[in-house]
Amino acid sequence: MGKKAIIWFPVFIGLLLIVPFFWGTYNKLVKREEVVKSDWAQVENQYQRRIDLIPNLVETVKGYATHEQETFLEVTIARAKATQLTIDAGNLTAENLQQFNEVQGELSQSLSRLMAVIENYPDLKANENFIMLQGQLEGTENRISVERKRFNESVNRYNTYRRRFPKNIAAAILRFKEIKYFEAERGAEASPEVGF
Amino acid sequence: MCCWRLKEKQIDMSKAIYTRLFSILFMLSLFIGSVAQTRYSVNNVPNVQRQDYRQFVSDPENAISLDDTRTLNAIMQQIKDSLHTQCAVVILPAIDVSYTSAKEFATELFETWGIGDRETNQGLLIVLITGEGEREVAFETGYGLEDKLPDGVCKLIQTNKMLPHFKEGDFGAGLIAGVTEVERVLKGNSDLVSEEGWPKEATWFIVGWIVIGLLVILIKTRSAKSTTEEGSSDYMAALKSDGFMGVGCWIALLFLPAFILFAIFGRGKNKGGTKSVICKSCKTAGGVKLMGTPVIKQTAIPGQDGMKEYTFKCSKCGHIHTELAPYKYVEKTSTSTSSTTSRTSRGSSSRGGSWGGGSSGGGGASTKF
Repeated sequence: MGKKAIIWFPVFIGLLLIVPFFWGTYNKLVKREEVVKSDWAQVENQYQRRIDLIPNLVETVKGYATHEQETFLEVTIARAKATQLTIDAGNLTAENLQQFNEVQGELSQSLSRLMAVIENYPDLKANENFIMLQGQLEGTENRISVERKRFNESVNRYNTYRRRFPKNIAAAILRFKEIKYFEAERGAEASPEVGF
Repeated sequence: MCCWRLKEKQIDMSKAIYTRLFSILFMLSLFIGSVAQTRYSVNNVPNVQRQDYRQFVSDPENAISLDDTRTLNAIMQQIKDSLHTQCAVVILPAIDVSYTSAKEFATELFETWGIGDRETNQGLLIVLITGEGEREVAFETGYGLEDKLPDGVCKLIQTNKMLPHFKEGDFGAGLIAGVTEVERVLKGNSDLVSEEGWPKEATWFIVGWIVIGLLVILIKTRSAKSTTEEGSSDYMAALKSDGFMGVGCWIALLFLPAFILFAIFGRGKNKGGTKSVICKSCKTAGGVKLMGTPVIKQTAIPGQDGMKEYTFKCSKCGHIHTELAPYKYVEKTSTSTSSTTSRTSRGSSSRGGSWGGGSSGGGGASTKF
């Protein structure tokens, strides 16, 4: 009787400590992961917003710049590619993010080429409709960078929590994986400034 | 000999004084130079709303005149009261080099202060950078304001309304023009935006129904010789929908499609209704219009109706008719508690307020000039 108590007592105490620890860590990890997921949804929303804006923009530009068919085609193709690719928030792997980045980066570049072309058409630049669309596009780019930043911040919060001792043990046992950061688009850090 | 020495000494003395003076002047100019180039970061912009709840303009370097500041405060107070939108204007000579753009700075400042109501996120921050070579104006709109004040419209306000003044160096006038235009856009009577999403055919359809409805009412009321209220004028009668109800159910049925359309397209303007009113001055119908939104002359409080002043203008002869009409007190449901408490204790001279805690997702626009 006495011996049994001596064996069971530490086990009991251990359980008393371990169960709440796992419980708490699990819930916190889930919470932070959900924040990451909803932030990702915001990032995709803003990219989608940009995609939605493009047909209007191209239509307006077409009315003035008739000789730039090549640029229009490029934008349209890049847009079509970007439309097809979306990432499920639960599947934020490094490769997926990389691919998303590449496709959206291509679209960014074709858009900045379009904007560079526009510099040659002063009439278009003075068009109110165009100024609005340009503002809308700029705003969307701003939103994208804001939402990316927020996404990376919440990923940072999640990863830091996950990697700290002793929670990393619980996280490893409960199979919470590290989430990759959403790095800047290729070429976005050196976006072609248009100066004339 | 002695005299000569003394002179030399004097010269030395005066030289020393001059060099000292020069160095002092040099230091002073350095000091002034450094003041002129103060670079602000989000944390050291004076939060004026905190100090005094009636202040919406943060202008630490006094770039605009006191009168302009007062005007701006008055407009923004009005926007806050009537449109439940918190605005803030920040004028700085330069921002810290760690910010890549004025827009980024604006986004961060907006988040730090939390402009706009926490629930509705209706906030607007206008940042103006006045330093030579860095001049830029940026709008930051909260989540709740994005559809009322889209980025494209922000850009248009900047390029069309503000930049002409800014380029002349009149920052105050430019800001006033910008904020005034924002108010007009929010109220829906700006000439900048041709109402988007409002198809022309739908408008004609609604107008058609209204005309039919009014004709029917005219015929009905004339044939039945129903007694209209003698007390109020026909100006008000045209606005009041109560009168319509008594005419008959079938008219309501006739109106149903129009009402549905009104409900779908939101803010239906009842400008069409006053068209039938005969102008008192030139005795012709069809020109009378309700001007703008009614002005509140006496605010309604629980248990007592307030008074609103309606202004009508005849577009044919220019006759202006104003009329007071009572309106009922409506309890506000979604205003933040902080703003209501600050509003009730208006007696104190300077009382710290707070921004509502709104957040933004980077909406808005910015233009360099």
